[in-house]
Amino acid sequence: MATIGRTVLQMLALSAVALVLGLTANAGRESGSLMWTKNYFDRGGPAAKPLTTADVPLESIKPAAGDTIPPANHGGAAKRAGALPAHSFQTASFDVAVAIFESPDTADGLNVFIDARPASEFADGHIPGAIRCFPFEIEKCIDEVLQYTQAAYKVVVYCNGGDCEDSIFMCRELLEAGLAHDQIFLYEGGWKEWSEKNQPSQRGTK
Amino acid sequence: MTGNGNSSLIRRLDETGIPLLLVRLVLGGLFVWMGSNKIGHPIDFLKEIREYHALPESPAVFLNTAAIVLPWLEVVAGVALIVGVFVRGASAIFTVMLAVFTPAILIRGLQIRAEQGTPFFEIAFDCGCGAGVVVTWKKLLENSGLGLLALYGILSLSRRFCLEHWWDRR
Repeated sequence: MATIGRTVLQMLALSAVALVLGLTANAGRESGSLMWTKNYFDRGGPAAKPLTTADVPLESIKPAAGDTIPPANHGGAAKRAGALPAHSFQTASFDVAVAIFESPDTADGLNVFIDARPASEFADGHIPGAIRCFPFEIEKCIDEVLQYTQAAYKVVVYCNGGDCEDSIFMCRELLEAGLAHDQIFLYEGGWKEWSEKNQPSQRGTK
Repeated sequence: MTGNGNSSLIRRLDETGIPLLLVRLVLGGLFVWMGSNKIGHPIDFLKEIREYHALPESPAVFLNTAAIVLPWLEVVAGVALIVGVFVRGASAIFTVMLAVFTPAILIRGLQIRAEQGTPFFEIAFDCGCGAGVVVTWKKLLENSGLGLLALYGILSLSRRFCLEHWWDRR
């Protein structure tokens, strides 16, 4: 009995040391530290129906005549490549994402792409002009993101596609930061679909 | 050889302290290595342990605390085992961890099989164990072996080559 009691005490002592070290290391970490009470996996409420080019007329994205926007794939262009869980954000299909990217408004900074992947993946390739903001390190980039997005018409958020949920978490962060729900577009196909379809890409940290 | 003879032989072997020393070095070394790999990547580890759905996402404090503390617990208990301090407590911690995570890995593997239709013996995923993507059945086998080693760490009566033995003798 005394042995069991001593073993439990030893377990508690080792756990206490681990707790103190964990707390200290987490507090002292320059990047990647976790907040104890923050729910990083909040998807932002009930599910919304996917948004397609049928819901977002390409004319609203492309005001100028003669732009090189590909034909719209009306009624179901939002391809769900993986088992992405339900979320509350409007989704942009590949066609919508490309149309927004090619819109003159994007060149003018009125539409913004947000890359919600870690720095190393962003550096390997991203949508040109996208701002990198990893939702788990939101405090490092939210100021820059808000600077570009608050007056934007459309903010397109993407990560790796498939079952990658980081873009959903980024959308929720944008909503919490004060962006309007209808400003935010979730591009579910993400970087995987974009790069596989040979769309323009850019390497590096900017 | 009689049953008494067997137990006497095992006890004599245990008293040499060499089996326990080997167990301490293997088990402690492995957990220090795996814990160290996770300490540098708390966000990745948080995402991996979330996949088990063993802890609630809300309130988030449980999941976040686990992601922050568990890697350190592995390192602290591993170092304690290697140097021979609180050997029984450290072994008990590893026994509990393995008793919790091994069935969790099995359940996750079965979930992946159900979702993707992959044959069980071909399922591989990052179990958050600190060794990257692992083949599920091999990981289950490895964990079962480690569980037996951890149990031996609790049951062994020898404290030779342990720092706590040296303390007790002073």
